[in-house]
Amino acid sequence: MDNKQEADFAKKITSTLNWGLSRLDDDKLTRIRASRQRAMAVYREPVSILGLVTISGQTLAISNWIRKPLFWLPILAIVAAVAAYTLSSNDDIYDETGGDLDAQLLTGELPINAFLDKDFSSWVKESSQ
Amino acid sequence: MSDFLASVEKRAFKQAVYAVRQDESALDIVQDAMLKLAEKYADRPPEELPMLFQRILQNTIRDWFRRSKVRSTWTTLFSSFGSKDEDDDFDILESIQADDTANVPVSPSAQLEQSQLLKIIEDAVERLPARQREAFMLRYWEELDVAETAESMGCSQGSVKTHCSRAVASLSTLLKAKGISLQSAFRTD
Repeated sequence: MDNKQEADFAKKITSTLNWGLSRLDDDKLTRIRASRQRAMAVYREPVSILGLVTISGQTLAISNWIRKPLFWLPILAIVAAVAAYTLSSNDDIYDETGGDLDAQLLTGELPINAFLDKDFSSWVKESSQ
Repeated sequence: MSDFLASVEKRAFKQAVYAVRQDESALDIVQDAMLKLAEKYADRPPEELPMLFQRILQNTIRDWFRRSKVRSTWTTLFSSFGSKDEDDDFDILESIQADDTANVPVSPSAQLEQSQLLKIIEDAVERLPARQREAFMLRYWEELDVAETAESMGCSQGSVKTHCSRAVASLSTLLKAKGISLQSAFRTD
């Protein structure tokens, strides 16, 4: 059997099989149709961006979901909490170190300008040696 | 997508029936294949859908056989999903029972005759080795070209041609054995 004979024979077979499709039970047809509808329920139309890239509907669905406020709300809350904690920690450090310095300046006998004078610092070092 | 699925769903169901021989399982297989296509390949161009869907369908059928194997349904597995060697040595005449050949359809009407012919052909298609049936269905029923069929089956184009030739030869032998004339018995519409 050559290629043409094979193709002709196959065409006759498939014609009969196609005829058989019209005789499928209504029950099965209904279930097949329901399967298609389920498939279409999860299907998302692909979206072309500037005619260059095509993104699948699933990806777009995820990105749409990311755009929803409810997605970002807990993330923003966490970021705000971390920022608040960090700031309050810095305040504590300032209170510990800055407070001591302020007390020393206020209770010392020397005026503040003495600490800013370079010659005074070198004089203190030399006298301590 | 919907139009495409509507155009292939009945043939997909029958393909699954020929492979697994259970209507319920075939319906589940078609549903799984449709869901996978719609879920994972929605961004593919329409011209790729037939080949992709057939690949998914055939893989889903193979998955069904694997699960059946786990459930120890060896009878179904061996009758429909033989090894490569079994495919090569398959002779459809060996699978025809004696009483089948004596039962040449004699119809009171064209409708009945066609129904009988359909039954004989469907039985023959079911009896084809899995790879031969797959190649024949994809190449001639789904009208994929040889390259698409090969890609869908995961084999070479040469293997597709071989499987198709053997499938046609087996079907031809079976019909002749049943006394069916190729020129007069078939509807060609």
